[in-house]
Amino acid sequence: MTGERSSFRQVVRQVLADSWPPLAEYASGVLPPNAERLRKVSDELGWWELEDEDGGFAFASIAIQELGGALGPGELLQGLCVNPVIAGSADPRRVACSWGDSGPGGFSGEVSWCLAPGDDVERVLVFAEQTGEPVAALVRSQGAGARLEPMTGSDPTRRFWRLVMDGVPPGEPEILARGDEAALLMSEVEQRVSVGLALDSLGIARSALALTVAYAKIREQFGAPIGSFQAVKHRCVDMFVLVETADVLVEAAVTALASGAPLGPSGVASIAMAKAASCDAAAEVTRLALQTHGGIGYTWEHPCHLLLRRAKLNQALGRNPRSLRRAVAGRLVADALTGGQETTPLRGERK
Amino acid sequence: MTAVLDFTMGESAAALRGRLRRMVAEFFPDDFLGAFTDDPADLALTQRFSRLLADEGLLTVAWPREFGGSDGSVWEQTVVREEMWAYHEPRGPQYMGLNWVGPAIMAYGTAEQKAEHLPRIATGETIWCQGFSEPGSGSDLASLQTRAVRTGDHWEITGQKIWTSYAGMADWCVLAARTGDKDSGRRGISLFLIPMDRPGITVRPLRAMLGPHHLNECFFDSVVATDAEVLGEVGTGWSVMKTALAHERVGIARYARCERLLWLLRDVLRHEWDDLDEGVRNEWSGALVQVRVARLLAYRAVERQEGNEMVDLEASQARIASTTCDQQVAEVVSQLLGPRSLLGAAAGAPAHGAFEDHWRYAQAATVASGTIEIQREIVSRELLGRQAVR
Ligand SMILES: Cc1cc2nc3c(=O)[nH]c(=O)nc-3n(C[C@H](O)[C@H](O)[C@H](O)COP(=O)(O)OP(=O)(O)OC[C@H]3O[C@@H](n4cnc5c(N)ncnc54)[C@H](O)[C@@H]3O)c2cc1C
Repeated sequence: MTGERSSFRQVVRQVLADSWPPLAEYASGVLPPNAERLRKVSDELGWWELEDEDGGFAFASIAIQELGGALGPGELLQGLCVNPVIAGSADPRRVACSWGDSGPGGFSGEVSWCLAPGDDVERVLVFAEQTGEPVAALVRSQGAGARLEPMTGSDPTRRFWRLVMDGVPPGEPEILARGDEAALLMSEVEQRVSVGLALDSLGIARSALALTVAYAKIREQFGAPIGSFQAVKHRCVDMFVLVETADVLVEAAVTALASGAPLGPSGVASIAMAKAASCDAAAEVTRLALQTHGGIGYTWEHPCHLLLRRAKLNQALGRNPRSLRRAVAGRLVADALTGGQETTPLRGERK
Repeated sequence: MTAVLDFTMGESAAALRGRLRRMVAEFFPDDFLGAFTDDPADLALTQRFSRLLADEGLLTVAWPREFGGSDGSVWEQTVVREEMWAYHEPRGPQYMGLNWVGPAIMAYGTAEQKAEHLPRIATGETIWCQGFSEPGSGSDLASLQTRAVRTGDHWEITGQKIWTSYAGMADWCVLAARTGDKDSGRRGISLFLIPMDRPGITVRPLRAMLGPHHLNECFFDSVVATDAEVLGEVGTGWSVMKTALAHERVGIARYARCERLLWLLRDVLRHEWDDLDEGVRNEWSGALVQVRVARLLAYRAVERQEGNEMVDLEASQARIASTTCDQQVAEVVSQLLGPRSLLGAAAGAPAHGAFEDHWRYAQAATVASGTIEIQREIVSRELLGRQAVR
């Protein structure tokens, strides 16, 4: 399994090298870069169906992480991460969903920070309440009383959309699930968004660390590489520790999700830990990367600021680190109070 | 000292603040985020506003009358600086001339240089830039390699500068060049006051995450300079630069914008504020305390500067406090506003994009004007002595 995974990682890197601009040239073109070729190749290679196989999410997770590190398209993030759970009548490849907020609660108002698996979005997944029970529904993105608008934010590496609903006719949303089933789907999507953001951020943090370490070795001031100054040396180590910390937690979360079984409390907690740790780590590592590069990092063509922008948005999207940590703390305390019966050590969850 | 601990600085300061705020509110649209945008109208507006301030005697309040000032106190100057930075620096690039170029010329310039430059800074007519950093000399500024060679009765300057803010719009440059031999280090540097339209100067803008105008490259190809254009004595550039940088480091009242943004954040959150958990609200108050600490440290540095005392330590410690509070406030904003804090101006962002703008600028605060590591070096020398270098 480990061997298969590492060779899959190589394949992903090769595909990215062939069909996606390298970080060094990333910002010289239009942003985000055109993803058509990458989408086509990944489709041909069956990435979109990875999860149909056993332990498929473990493979998808490798692609998601590598894509993060390459500032890959949001389309693939959505496609690989969330779409497998959006079944229903529509072609999941034409369905967008929010990575940012749970929406207005009804079929009016806005659903922001939607990622779409392509330009030809037909529907947006909306979680709402109808006649007192939760529903999961698909709203036509250009149907009656709804429209999809592009959002411009601080992160130019991905395209986000906002669904604006004003007067969607009551019979219009196509209900996918109701009641418990809808609630389950909602938490499944939330969990996948959390893990997706954690993986994307881990990739970003790794790239930022690699860039920084390489630069610290070659940039000289005061007649020596800046990496020889203790302040810079220690900072590189701090960055490395942040990345490794995120890595073990993300691995645990992926394992929990990849098992395909419904998540118990420890699985849920491991996802919360991964999202909080990895998104915080990436925000901090990219900040330090910028600091270590000095002036050059602020230039548009340098990938540093783009990694930072994407990491910062990932940290802000989904559930915020504070509430995630509170949830984890709550679970740990509860476990302690029940005499540890519920406490399955996280490592023990790995296969 | 008493004035220093009083945040309001008394009634006349409060009146001055009120006056400045009214002027800004009348002059600028609500969505003004500074002079450095793709729209030249923003720069033009700040140039007109600077003249208005000059007419009212507010641009160089604390300068002596003979140089076009109003003989005001350095605390009035501080109020101006705070209000201006709080409202996205409506003086545009003028702050450069006001904060350190003018004071440096006042301290080290010849009578002719003072007569030529100071009145025009005082009226807000000229834009200055700082030609210090080079591709190979950032933190190690004293290793700069731009050469000024004595040729007959003048100098010929050749080399490259980088990160030069506002070079594309500047009329004048304070240019640091090596007049000593290659390895003369700090002792071989001289400063020149050079008009940017002099033959041999080429400016190339660099696209940057901060938006246009902030970063440029400048190429100097046998640019002629006269003895009359040397600021201070030949070979004493380093000590002039050190003083200049100390002025620059306290010259931007970053804490003032931080304080304004924290209160703006409360306004934006309105009823959501009451639903926030206590931990989050504590972060907000913690940031506000830090902002005020930065303010007091800046006052202390200003006070020492006023007394012409050595201010390296105070300037650097104030700089560390104000740049880290810039980043702390950006963090608090992003915690409280979530992804909304990262919406750019075009996207219906809260406060017209002021939060996103602040977040981007805060990232550069700990590098511009000497990195935070270099500020720490400077403080450590005072604390631990020289051997602490490296
Ligand atoms: C927005 C902005 C505006 C600017 N405007 C101007 C301007 O108008 N005019 C001008 O002349 N310059 C300007 N600068 C340049 C600025 O002063 C330099 O970027 C800064 O001094 C750092 O130099 P550098 O970029 O070469 O980084 P480097 O010196 O290469 O530093 C890289 C990293 O190494 C660290 N480092 C270096 N030496 C040591 C050491 N001994 N110990 C520990 N750590 C060390 C640094 O702290 C940094 O983290 C501007 C910079 C920015 C970001």
